[in-house]
Amino acid sequence: MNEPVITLNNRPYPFKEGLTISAIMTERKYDFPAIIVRINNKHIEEEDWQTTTVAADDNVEIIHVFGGG
Amino acid sequence: MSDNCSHKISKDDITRMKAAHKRLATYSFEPTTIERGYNNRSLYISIGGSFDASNQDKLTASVSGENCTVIGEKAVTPHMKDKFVGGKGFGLYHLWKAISEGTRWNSPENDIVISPGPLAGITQYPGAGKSLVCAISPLTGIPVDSNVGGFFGPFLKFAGFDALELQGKSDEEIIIFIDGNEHTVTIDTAPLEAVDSHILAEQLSEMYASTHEDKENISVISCGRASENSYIGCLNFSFWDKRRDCVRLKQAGRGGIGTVFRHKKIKAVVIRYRGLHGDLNNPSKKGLINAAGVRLHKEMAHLDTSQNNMRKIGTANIIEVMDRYDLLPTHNFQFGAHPETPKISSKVFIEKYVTQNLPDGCWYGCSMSCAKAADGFELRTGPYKGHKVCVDGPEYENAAGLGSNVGCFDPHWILEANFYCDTYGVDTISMATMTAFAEECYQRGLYNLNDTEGLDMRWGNGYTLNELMHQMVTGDGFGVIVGKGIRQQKRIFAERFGKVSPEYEHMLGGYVWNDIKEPVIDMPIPTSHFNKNLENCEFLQSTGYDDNKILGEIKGTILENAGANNDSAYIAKPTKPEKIEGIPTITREEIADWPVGKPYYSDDPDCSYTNSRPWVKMTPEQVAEMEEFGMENKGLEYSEYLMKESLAQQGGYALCNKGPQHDEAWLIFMDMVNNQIPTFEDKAEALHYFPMFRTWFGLLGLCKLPWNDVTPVNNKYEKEPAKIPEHVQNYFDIYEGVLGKRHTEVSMVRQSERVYTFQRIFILRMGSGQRKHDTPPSRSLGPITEGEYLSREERYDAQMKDIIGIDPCGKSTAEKVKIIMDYRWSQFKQLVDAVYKRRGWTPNGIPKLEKLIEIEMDLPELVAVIRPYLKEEGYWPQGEEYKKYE
Ligand code: SF4
Repeated sequence: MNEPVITLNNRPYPFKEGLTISAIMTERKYDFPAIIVRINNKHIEEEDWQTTTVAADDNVEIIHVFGGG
Repeated sequence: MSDNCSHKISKDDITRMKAAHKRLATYSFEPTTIERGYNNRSLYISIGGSFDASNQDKLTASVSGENCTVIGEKAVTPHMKDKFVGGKGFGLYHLWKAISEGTRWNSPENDIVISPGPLAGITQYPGAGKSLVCAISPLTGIPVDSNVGGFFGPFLKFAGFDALELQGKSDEEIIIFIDGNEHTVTIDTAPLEAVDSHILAEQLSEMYASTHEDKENISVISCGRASENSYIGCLNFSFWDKRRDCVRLKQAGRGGIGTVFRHKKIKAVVIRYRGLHGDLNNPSKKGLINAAGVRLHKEMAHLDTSQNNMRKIGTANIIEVMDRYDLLPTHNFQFGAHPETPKISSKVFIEKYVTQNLPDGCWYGCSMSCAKAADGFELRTGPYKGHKVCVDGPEYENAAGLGSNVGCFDPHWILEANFYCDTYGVDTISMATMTAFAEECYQRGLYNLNDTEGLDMRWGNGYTLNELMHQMVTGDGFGVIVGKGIRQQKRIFAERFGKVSPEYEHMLGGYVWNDIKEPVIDMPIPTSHFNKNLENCEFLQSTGYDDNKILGEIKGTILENAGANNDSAYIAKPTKPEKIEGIPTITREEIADWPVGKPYYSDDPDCSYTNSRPWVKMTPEQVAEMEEFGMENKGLEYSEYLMKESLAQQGGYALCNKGPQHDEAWLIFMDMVNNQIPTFEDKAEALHYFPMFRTWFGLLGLCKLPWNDVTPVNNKYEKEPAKIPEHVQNYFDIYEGVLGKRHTEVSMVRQSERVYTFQRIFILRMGSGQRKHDTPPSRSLGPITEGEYLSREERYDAQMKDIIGIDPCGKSTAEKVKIIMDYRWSQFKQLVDAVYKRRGWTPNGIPKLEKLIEIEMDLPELVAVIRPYLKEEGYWPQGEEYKKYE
């Protein structure tokens, strides 16, 4: 049987029980100050990242809003 | 600020300079009132003769002066405003009319056009003081556009003109002065003023201001001495910084427009305008502008500190972010991060160099205030060694380019190079990328110390970085080759720096200029390299080596041999040899067929350094090697973002009209990090929308930074947060506020598409602009060396397995590099297909006739350019409705 995954920014990403948004951020080394998080198109406020867990097959978007050059 | 006082000028100096002026022409113009952002006329100046290009617009009024100078006016017509809007649109429009297909950068008819847009000069909304400058570029041979802050653009508009054209070529150094209050334009010869911008702008602010306070009503365009011997000249636009009590400089950097300016022997264009106030654009609905301004000012006040810190350090805030995300170009774009980056992080510049708590806006009302500066900065090298100066910067591009990309992690050298780039008038981005290329060639052993006359071209020598520019000023030395840009470097290295084949060694008659055969990699220069040359050396006294660790190690030997004292240091400089008999002199045309490895003499009027020594052609393999990592496209050097892992940004660079500058599209995070545009169609859509949106800034006279370097609190709820929709609406509001017309995304994109497509056809007219010209160097697409691959092996192995479907196990690194690169080239090809299609172009990159009709740009002169290409490619449309275009 295939390992469970979530979709993170349009790519498969390994799922494990209790995986929080903050944990994903740490794993991915995402520490940019302007980041937007959406799970299944629903916005997650920054203060909830620590406690929000994802479920298998969730569509998670972690979007850096970065002006750049 | 008293610290920046090393070059203050006396009243006597000014009197002496003025006394040496000779008036060539005076022109008086009628005052106008700006109507909804437009004066409806532009100012035309030609020096040394007027140019009757067949389609040049006629002057509506003019005066002729001595030495064939002409000053006059041209009408800005409803057609121009409708199709070209202003700013870059007007620049390209005038340039198109002024030149012919055969015009080169140094042809007298090449036209420098400076135009603020209809919104330029607003003081209520941040970032509305930009001008766009256009000309035919020495680097690319095609039109280039470059945007710039400073006060000149808004002052030009308030003086009464929507654009300024500078055509012709003077025999003598001249200064053009536009008096926006007396309504006169004068042209004087100016033999005594300085050329370097930090001094000249001070001199002219002093000269043309009636009182000290009046200096804030002056703006000067100038370009320093290095632009005269390089192709990367930039234009400095000044503004008077009241708090610091000195001039500040903002650059129209890209494409070598400063080189064109100095070639015309223009020392400066000076403007004076007194009486600035917020409503000079005569806006239609002032309330809309004010309300948008208040919204953005509030965001700046509340959000900047927790977001980008623009007010503290400006664009340099992203140095460490780029490094963390593996995007900071390092060692000529080989890598995206470096362990020494913390030494040049924004924190270092904030704490040690950049003056805080000053309102650093480059135009009034810009609360983003990103134009930071380091005051009282003491220079270590060059003609201003020991002077304390104000350095405008560092901006991100300077820190990344003159820092990590050339391998320099010493903030002092970065700022010193930043200063010299500005005052000498060279583009920091090209300077950085072309130095990085030259360094890599050196590290690879493609040339050696003899070719540079002892200049150490290993990564990161801050002294060298500055010395290259000092050589561009004197017009002698290896720096002159570097300053011609990567495209010319490749040609010059290929023609001159090959190795003599054994079968031809006898022709040298014992001359040993090429005796150092080992490249010097990551070690101090062996003193033996210098000792070998000492017997046949003159010593070039130079300065600034004192605290250079590497050269310190060889200093003892050199000083001992040269009998010099410890206060100076020296570069070994091989004596130029007498001509060696038996080595033939051939013409430039004959070089192509000359055998590899066989010495010859030739000459290059554009770059005479090494003309007196024998040249040897490189092997075809060496030439191909340079093509892979020479980071230029269309002749312009890449700007300072690592694009290897973002296909969309690879396209953003290579498909940029003027060459690889990120001001059309910066999609790295959207693409690589967020993966928001996964399909080719998504990327093509982004490579349509963003270039159009950013073109629009260039049409209107707006700065990009306040658009997305602060984001409103509610942006997180937007469907397309990367577009910052709330700020886009602000722009539509201020557009309506000034021009009185409602604007939408559709009408905005339409305005930009017209000018963007026009520019592409203009490029085609100049002999470029087809698909082959959009081909990038391999390095921009991925790892081209085993070292690059191995440095990110896990990433590339995973891509090979998961994306390409090939198991990397058991493959050599060379095989893996080939697999990755073949795949990436195929991806790039598909991307180009998708983008051309989205833009309404053929697979060869030619705008289709149907597209011109759709955007109402089916102008006869444009159709005439595309017709033969479309017919040849089989894309000329059939049908009755197209008959009239035959
Ligand atoms: S954001 Fe910076 S560059 Fe743009 S207008 Fe303001 S000060 Fe000038």
